[in-house]
Amino acid sequence: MLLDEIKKMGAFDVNACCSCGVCTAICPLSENGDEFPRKMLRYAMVGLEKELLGSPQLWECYYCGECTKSCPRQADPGGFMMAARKYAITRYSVGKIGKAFYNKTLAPLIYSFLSVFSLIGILLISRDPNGTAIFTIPEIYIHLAGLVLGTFVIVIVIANLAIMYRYISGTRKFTKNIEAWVNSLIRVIIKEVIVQERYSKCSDRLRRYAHLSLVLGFILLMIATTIDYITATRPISGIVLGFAGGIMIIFGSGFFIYQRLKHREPYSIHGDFIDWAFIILIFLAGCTGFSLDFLTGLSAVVMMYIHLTVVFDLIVTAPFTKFAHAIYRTFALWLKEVQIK
Amino acid sequence: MQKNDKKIGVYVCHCGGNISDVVDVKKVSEEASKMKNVAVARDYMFMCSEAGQKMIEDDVKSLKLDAVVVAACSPKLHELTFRNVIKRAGGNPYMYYHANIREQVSWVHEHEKEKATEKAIREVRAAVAYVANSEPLEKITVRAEKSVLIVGGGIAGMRAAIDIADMGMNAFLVEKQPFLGGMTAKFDQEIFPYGKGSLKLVNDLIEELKKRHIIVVFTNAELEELSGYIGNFLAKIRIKPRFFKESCKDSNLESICPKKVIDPETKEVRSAIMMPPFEGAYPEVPAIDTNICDFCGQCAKACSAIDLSQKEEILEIKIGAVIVATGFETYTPKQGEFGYGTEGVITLSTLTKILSKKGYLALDGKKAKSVAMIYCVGSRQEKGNQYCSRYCCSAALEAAISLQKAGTRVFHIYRDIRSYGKNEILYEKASIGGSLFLKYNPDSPPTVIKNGGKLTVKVKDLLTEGKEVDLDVDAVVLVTGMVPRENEKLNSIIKVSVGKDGFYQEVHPKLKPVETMISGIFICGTAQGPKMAVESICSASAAAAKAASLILKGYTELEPFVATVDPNLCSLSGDCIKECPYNAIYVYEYEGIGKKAKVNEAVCKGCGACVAVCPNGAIQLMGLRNIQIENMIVNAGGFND
Repeated sequence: MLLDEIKKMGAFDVNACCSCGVCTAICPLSENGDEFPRKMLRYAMVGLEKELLGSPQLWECYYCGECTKSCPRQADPGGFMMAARKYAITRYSVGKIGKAFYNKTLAPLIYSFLSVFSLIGILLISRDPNGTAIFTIPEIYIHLAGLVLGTFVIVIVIANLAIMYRYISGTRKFTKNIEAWVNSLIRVIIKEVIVQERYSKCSDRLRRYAHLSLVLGFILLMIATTIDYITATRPISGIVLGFAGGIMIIFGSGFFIYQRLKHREPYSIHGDFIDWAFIILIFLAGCTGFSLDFLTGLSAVVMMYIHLTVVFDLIVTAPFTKFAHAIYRTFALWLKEVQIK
Repeated sequence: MQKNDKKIGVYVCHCGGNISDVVDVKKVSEEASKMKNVAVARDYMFMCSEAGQKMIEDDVKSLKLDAVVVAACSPKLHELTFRNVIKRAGGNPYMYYHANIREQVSWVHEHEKEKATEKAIREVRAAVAYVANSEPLEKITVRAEKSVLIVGGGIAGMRAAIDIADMGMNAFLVEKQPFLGGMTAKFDQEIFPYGKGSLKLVNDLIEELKKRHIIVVFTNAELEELSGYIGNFLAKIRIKPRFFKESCKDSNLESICPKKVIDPETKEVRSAIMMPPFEGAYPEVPAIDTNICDFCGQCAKACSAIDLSQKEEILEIKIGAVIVATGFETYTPKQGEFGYGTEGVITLSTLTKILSKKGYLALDGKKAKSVAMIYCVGSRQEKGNQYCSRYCCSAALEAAISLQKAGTRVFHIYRDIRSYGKNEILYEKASIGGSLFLKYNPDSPPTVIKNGGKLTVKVKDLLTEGKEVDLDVDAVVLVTGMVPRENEKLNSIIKVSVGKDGFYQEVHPKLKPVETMISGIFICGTAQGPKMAVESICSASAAAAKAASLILKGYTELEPFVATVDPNLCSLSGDCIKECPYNAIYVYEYEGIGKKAKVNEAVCKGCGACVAVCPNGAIQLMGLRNIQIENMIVNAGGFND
């Protein structure tokens, strides 16, 4: 049963749902025609899997927790939406590889393996040019590895998006106007990724800023890395952008770790290994990357090893874990923009 | 026309504006005062108020009025009020007419005030003509037997018998089956919301019955004939033999009996020996099912308490009233109706029987993981049973809670859930417990498909935007309702009218909810329509109280509006005797006149059928004699003299 599968991912209280619709009424983001969360819960309860996976609404939710707080049956609709997204991540992923990451036994093993694999790789390509026993990694290798890794991730993500598209196109039709597609993409990237306008409808301001800070931090770091790569030096612009991006992701991820530890808001109550792994890896990536600017000598080298391993873990698992929501949400909102009503 | 010097008072009511806003009541009263025989005409704000009543009472006394007309609301509301006013003033309460100028005039002619006033005047004129031709009447008094026959030994019948006995009357309880308990005893289910098992309820009632020695219980018995009228019925009871003098010590009798049949409902093998079906059953003595028994005599050899020579008996009893509590039957779906007949598709009554025995549902040895319940099967149909069976939603929810306790997932495929009153708690409980409710439109009902041992219910769920949902389940439960018991023979004996739906019909659902058109015969329980156990019991107590109010005094008073024969005019054509629907007319030897028709006043309903067919005009309806009606018509038309 579909519901049983989703319940493995959270949504423990969903059976109490009586389909009253208070969650949809209270949700600041739900729109006419594409309502949620009630409709999503209903699909899951009656076993309409194609309808559920074909609903872009899954990705519209920022899990502010208003619905869970106002549910008259304590069915935790917000928790259900989260669980349904996790389920969708496993189902959208090529060969359903994502399933392994949401397995409580397998996931730690995968992360351990990847980390060891990364460390061995780094050690193999490390050199000691000065004979000072301080091994450094030639930049050329790092960039090469980055390109290979990036290509791998992009290919997988595209394949995943194709699966997601198949599901969503099963529930709605899209315009054939190419211009509309392009314009919509630009609009979505500006409004939903860079500004995150919709998030402002949710009541928790601080949480929105933390999330925005994380996303923008990533974007800044990406730009900084690209500048470094293109100029092959470290121009001041790259350093400043990297510095700012680092602070932003440390703040963002730090905020979410703090919230989870405090267990106060509905969205932070549930959370298993994979959720923790994602947020801790971001935090670590931020901290280690940031500290590189201040360390010298052996400690800098060791920190570099750790940083690269963390970044490798984070990026290689991105298409199968929570990280993928960045792409899925953008894609879903884009498809919503170009759908014919 | 004869000389008529009756003094009549006419009273026109404003009804606080209800009438006077439309009808010019002053004009009506003015016109009335000009009418022949009218001694006084007045109007007043509320004629039914204490002051209004006092005004009429004083007029009757001081002006020595012979008759009174009140033009006001419907006679259903206040006719009795003003009859009593006349009675208090020392007049005859039947010298009265209640003209309805509210429901028939002011409320329906709001926009034509002048014409409404004219109509009111005509009504008053007709009423004056009526009372001018009236004569004083007296209530008919009939001696009443202080005992009651109750047909049906279910919970309603038992309750009625207990209440009758507690009021000091004899109760005769007749049950067709060999044991008391009726349908309630067939289910061992909790009766919500009082937390009482249905068997416990039956047992408690049986214990109460046993304590009252003025209750006589006949089981294996049927009403064979009923004659007479209110207060004086004569009933013939046919009592079939049990063939058991007492209980046998040998408990193995059932296996000794060579006749074996499979019970169509429970699918269990049983023999012709019918043991008491539950602990505390009444009577405690077994019985032999004559539908199965071929009198081979094997049981009689094994047990000396068995006497196969027992014969049927017919008993005659005198009673004052009858209470019919014959109960219901459960609806049996047609073959193929929502997959009925397919393995794994059962009715709610079968489910409750299984649950009461095992506590869980296992149809082929394995405990069912999921069950779909389809509601309103056989109820609320466009063609067929149009009524809601009332109990089924709550009963299904109750069963769902039991199923959920046993770890079974329940899908409710419903049209509307009507878990009214306190039963709403059941809905809440089932829903929180994980029941999933899917609503279907009766235009596209769910379908049940069996494919390779797998049951699938396809339903277009209105709560999921009408999308078709496939539910794979281990069992389908058809939530079946109540249908009236087929009882042609009893119907022809008691002659109580049966409604379009097949249940016995009361006179009025609110004003006379347990009375029938036959005086002295009452109905209660599910014989009257679908009811919950609680409601059945309530209606039984109501029927007992109503019966008592008629006969407990030892006599009963009837309205005097009955037919009466003038033997001097009667030619004994016999037409009236044939026409009377109540068998109230018979041939009587009048002193000095000879054999002529006579009306039994206690049986006559005053319908007037005999008046219409009499070739000589020998029959008149008291209070509605031809001369009264003719004068009313003439005066309403405005042609007075």
